[in-house]
Amino acid sequence: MKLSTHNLILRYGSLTAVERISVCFEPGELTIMVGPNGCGKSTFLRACAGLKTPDEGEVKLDDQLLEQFSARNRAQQIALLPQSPITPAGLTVRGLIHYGRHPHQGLFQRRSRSDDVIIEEAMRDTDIVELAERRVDQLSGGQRQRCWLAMILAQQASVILLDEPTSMLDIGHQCEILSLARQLAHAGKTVVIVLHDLLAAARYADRLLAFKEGHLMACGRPSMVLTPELIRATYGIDAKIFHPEGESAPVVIPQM
Amino acid sequence: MNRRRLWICLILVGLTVATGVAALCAGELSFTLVDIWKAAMGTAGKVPDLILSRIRFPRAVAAWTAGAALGLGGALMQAVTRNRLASPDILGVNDGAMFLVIAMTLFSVVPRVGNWQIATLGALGAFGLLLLFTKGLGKNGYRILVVGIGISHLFRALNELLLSRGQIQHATEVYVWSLGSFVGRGYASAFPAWLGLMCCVPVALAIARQLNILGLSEEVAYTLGVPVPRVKFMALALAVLVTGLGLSVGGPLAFIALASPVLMYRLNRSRDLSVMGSLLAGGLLVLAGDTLGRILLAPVELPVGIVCRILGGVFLLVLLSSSAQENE
Repeated sequence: MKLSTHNLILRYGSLTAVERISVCFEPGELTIMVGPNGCGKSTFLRACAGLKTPDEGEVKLDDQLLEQFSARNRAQQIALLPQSPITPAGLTVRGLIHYGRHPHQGLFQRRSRSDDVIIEEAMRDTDIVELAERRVDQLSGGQRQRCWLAMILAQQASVILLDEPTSMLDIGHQCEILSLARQLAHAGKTVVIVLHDLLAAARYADRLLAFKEGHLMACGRPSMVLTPELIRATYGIDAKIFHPEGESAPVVIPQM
Repeated sequence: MNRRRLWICLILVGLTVATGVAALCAGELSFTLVDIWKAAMGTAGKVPDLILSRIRFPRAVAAWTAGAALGLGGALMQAVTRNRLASPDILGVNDGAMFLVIAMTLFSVVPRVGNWQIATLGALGAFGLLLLFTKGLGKNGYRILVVGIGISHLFRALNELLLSRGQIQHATEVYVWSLGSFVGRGYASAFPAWLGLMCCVPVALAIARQLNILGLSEEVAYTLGVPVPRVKFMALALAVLVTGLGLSVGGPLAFIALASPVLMYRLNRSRDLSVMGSLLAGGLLVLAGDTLGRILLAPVELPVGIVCRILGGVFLLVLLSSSAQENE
């Protein structure tokens, strides 16, 4: 499904976090949002998931306003992995991932055979099969992150929003997760990720959005968007951009 | 429900039946299983029939019902506030109920003792105040706890004040009620709570999974399609309603609401809300407590509230020390 915003304005009290942003996220495309801390990208992502109501403007899923969806329908279409979610004590990995099936289950319906298959698949995709019966609160930060991602996968939504999904991961698992996100996107899902790592963002994104102070600074293919001028304008630092031979993605190197 | 949880529920039912039989047998006049069978068939003599069918069995039913309601109320409250210590007694629900009971006893035009059903209204009133002062449910379980403790202390002070102003025989009567006791309780006192449980249990079962998901965080619950404010409100309202009904039977019994759900978390080895388990555990605990209270110091009867407090205190200490070990 297509997720789009039109003149979206988001405020916290008198503070404006997002200033009139109109973008459209298409199925089959991996979009990565970058920008300095507090630039409004997480707030924007929350609004895309319906967690924050627009102060002005609108968020639409295909051609319907997001707020017109029932809670259940919305959850079947949009999944969000928040930044460092809290895990309650005593929950097993399988138990957590099972919660991802909630929007697809009826009132009294328990876990079905097809749920089990989907849960297994989500665990395989995130490389946590051997952790299935462990307690989530006793895992390392990176393992926990992958468990949450598996829950999102089990939700089987057509729009997947991830807020810094790789912040706790080593480089190997970072690549795996981002490759997985890319695969999902190219299989027809709409995937939007907030990321701080410019290198990875340039490498994996089909489209890059750069935010600063609630404004959209740039939007387009990474090789087009990433310029020394943009880095200067958004982060306030000087950087060199390299285009290594045989690589499609540009490499950003900050200058001392 | 997985197999383990089903088995635990069945074992609890078995224990409840066994305790029920013990409750019928034991007492100042003790009976055998044969006597009980005869009484059930209506072929026992007049005295056994009177004691078993008119006194002990109805009393056991009343005690079980009160415990079941308190256990369920506690489980719902803990689930929705995400806090194991958040039992309705801490939030002022019991004290609000007691306030109304005392006020009605002392100040009604015709002072009469024994209109305990009014306790349910008192519990709901205290909950209303709680919602008013927390201005909605709040984001975490914390604000509701702090305000609840405040309300509870306020009501407690008012209760002491009222008791000190009232006539001594009424005050004594209310005091005994406030300890928790099932002397003279039977079908009539248990009926409203029964009815309430019949209505509330299906609703509780229906929202149990949503409450479990709410335990992750409100954000995640929202994105998983849980209608967060509605589920929270329903769970709190149900918790207060069943608690109010439960304590209207035999008075506010401490620790049942706290202990039953925690016991179930332990037995199930799962953090998920156990609606039927908490209900069964609460009923069993109170039935056992009431029976013990009758026979421990016979012929003097120990109010079940005191038994619960002693057992509950020990239970809580054991639990806290064992969970401290587990986390090490």
